[in-house]
Amino acid sequence: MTDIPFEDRVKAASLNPKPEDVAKLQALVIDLDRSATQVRGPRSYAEEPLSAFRLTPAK
Amino acid sequence: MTDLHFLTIAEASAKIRAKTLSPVELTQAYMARIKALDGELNSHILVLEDQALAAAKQAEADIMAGGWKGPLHGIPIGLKDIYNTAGITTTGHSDLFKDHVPAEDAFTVKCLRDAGAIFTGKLSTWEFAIGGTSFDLPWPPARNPWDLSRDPSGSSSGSGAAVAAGLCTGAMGTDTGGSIRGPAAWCGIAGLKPTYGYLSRRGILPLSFSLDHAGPMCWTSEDCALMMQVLAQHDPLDAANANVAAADFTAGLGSGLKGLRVGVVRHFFETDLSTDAETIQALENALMVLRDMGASVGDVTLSPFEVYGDVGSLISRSEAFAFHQAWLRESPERYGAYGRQRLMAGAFIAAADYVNAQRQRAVLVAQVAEVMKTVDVLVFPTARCPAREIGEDSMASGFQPFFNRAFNVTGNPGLSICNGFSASGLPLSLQIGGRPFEDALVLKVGDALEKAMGTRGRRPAFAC
Repeated sequence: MTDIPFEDRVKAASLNPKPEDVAKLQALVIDLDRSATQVRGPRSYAEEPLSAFRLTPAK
Repeated sequence: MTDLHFLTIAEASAKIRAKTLSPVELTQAYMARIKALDGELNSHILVLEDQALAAAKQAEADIMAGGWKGPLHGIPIGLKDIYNTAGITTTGHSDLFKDHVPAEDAFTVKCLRDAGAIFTGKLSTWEFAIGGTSFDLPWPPARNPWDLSRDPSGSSSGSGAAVAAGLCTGAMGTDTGGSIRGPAAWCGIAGLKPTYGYLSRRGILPLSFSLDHAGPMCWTSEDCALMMQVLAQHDPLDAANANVAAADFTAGLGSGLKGLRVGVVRHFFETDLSTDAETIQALENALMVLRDMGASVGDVTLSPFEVYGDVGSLISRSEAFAFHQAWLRESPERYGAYGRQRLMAGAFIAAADYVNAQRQRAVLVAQVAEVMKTVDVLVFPTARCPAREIGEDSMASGFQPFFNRAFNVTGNPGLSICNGFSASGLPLSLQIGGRPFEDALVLKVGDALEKAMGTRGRRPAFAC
């Protein structure tokens, strides 16, 4: 997969960080990208997100 | 006699009820303390002197007329400045909200007000509870009263510092990734992150909807229990608030721990993240005390701590960006650098990764529930080390000082207590986790340990 330059990702997100923010922002994003790889493993379709919710009938 | 400003809620309340202490006298004592010490401590964004004294006079009149409302009547409490207060600025410690004046109190603030608590001030926080210890905001960051060159941690930094230094009897904090328990640990006080949904979040500036918790921060676990007694009320207008009958949080205090089953999550601090020797030795000392009190102690295994960190980061940053994105795009310059960077980072998380983090979260919740069929409480250190130098940016450097994320992700209650002191005189910490809605048991264990280990007799030299 082609790596997208970080500056392009920032533009695509419609963000305009200060120039002095960019290196720290990129470091934080690299850390989140690493976290994301940890939740991408194969899963059963039966594994539902915690945000699935339960309605109760009207009384 | 103990100085008025170092009375616990339990002690002050008993005196107020007996009419041997006036809420006015107590409030005046705190106002004098704030004037004397907060120029260096920076725990307050706004001091509510006139309002507090007026409320104290009313409380005194009510109590003298036989209208004592309960243990928080006339008790001075500080509020982290992300709790909405009707007619009073709620800034989030940010330039962006410096003129934000809510029309209504947060639900928990109303609970406290109805119970007769006196609000002494709005307390410092990390910007919007995420920005880190920052020096580029309209107000300076709070400092650690045990050593002013040290960080009190955050985000409930002012709450931790003010309680430890005796600038209020108790305080409210919030905890999305450890923001009650971190400052409680580094400031040497008790801080409870209740079960998710036990306390209303309505009227508190959100950081991460599914991870945010309100909770008390006090000198003792007993005081946290007294505050929970008032705070745990059902709020039908908070979507996450559980409609459960609140426990009696004080009933079990002092009844002993014989038969309690304690699970030590040893891999957190021995394998997953390196932890300093004094912290581990203090934990072993506490385990011996628990055994002496009749508890059984054994090790348990959860997922590696990093898994909780990954899941918690993905969820919290995604949800925080969802709340802040319009301001981040329109006026990013109004945030401090740390807050701006941390909040912007949430823009880069893919939706599928957020959903998969929520799926992994369900697995972690089930796993902790399974382990807790075999034990009644979980224990491990709150912090890996005592307070660090202020200005060290933990998040940017990748250093994670705390073991807090696990219970934000699973929603279980977690209490941090002071677990003794380092050779350099800084507080060490211990965390006690429980099953959902067994917050009363967690507080009972914390109270028993504090009393057995005698950690509550020592205050910061700066404050004495």
